[in-house]
Amino acid sequence: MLKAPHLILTAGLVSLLPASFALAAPEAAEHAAEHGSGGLPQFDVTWFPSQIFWLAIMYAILYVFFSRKTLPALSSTIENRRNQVESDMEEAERMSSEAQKVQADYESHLAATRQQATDQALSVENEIKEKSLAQAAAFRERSEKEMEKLEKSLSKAKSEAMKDIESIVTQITGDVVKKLSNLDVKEAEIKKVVNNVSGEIADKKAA
Amino acid sequence: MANPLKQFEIQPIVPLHIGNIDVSYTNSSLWMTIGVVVSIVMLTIAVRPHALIPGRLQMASEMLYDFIASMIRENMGPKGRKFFPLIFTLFVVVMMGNSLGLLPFSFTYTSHIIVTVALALMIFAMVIVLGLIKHGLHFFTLFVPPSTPMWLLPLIFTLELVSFFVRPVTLSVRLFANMMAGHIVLKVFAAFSVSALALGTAGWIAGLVPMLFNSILIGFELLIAYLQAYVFAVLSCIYLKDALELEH
Repeated sequence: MLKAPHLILTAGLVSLLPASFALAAPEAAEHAAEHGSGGLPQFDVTWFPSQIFWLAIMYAILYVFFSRKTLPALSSTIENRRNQVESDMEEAERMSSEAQKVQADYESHLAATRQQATDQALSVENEIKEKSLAQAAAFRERSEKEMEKLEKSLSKAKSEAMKDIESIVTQITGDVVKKLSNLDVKEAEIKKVVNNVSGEIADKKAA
Repeated sequence: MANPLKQFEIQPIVPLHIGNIDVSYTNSSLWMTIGVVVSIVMLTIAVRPHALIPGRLQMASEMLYDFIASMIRENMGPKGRKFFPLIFTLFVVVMMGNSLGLLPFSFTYTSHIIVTVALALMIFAMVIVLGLIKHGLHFFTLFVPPSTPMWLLPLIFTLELVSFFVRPVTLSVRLFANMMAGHIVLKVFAAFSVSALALGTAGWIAGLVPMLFNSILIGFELLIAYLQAYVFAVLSCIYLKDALELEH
């Protein structure tokens, strides 16, 4: 940090000056004496060498102290701060990019999960639909079979009933005819008549 | 009325001789010493914390550092870096002299032409020596701007030469005159106040006027103290730049 050439130059130059003024001193002292105390004290050459001498010493002390202690300390403090700020900034940038990555991860994860949930819901729905369709189909089949069976037994019962009715009608007709006309009509004949009549009734109904 | 020039008188404190030369320790030397001690102590205390987040004093010292650093950067460019301690010391010495001089009963060493001349000649001599070392005889092209018509050459050369040699004179006289004039004015107004006191009650009231005026002047003088130190340092930078690079 210390620039030795400068220091030597500075000190040398300043300390050379007293010599030149010392040479001029006797003549100037007379000059000052003429003026007495009326002139500016600044132009009293008596103290010129002393002023320069002490200025040079003080300047040199300050120069050495500043260049060895104060200025390196200050510049290192400022440098440290700048480094700290820079590294903090880098750290912040890194963290912010990391946060962005995490955010992106989270979002993609969220989207995937949402998709999965939708898929699951859809598949469950489909399953339920299929199941209920299947159940409905099975139920219909079963009930159709049962209805068929019922219809069959119903029609069987009906035809039996009809047969019974025919025989009852034949018997009642034979009884009525026997009672009314005392005729003993053969059963086969009665049956024939009854069939005719019921056929007529059926024709009338159909018409 | 007190002599307003009395404040500039030098009183020897410790008589001292080196050969025939009187180098007595004077009141001026005393105030130089005070300036050195104050600046060293203040800056040492200010710098010591080394804190990442500076306190007031450390902030002030860093501002001073940045101030000088930017002054050098702007006026001398990156090459001026090696003059940093020199300009820093120069600024502190002048600033201390100017501002310590505002204390009552103190001595303003920058109000002495010999002090300012010594500082200015130091810079001036450095410009010449460094310029000659760095550029050799080429340094003298400083006095001949390029693209000068041949017939104007003698005139331009003379003017440039004169302006070059006038530099230390203006540099030193500017500071000296500013400091001296300011302190004389302060003393004169203070003397008005004091002499007005002799007039009784009316004088006590009348004496307030120059005193109030002095209060304002002190603030103004503080500004001048800083401004002149700044001007001295900046001009030194600009002059030293000539030694670093020959612009024309």
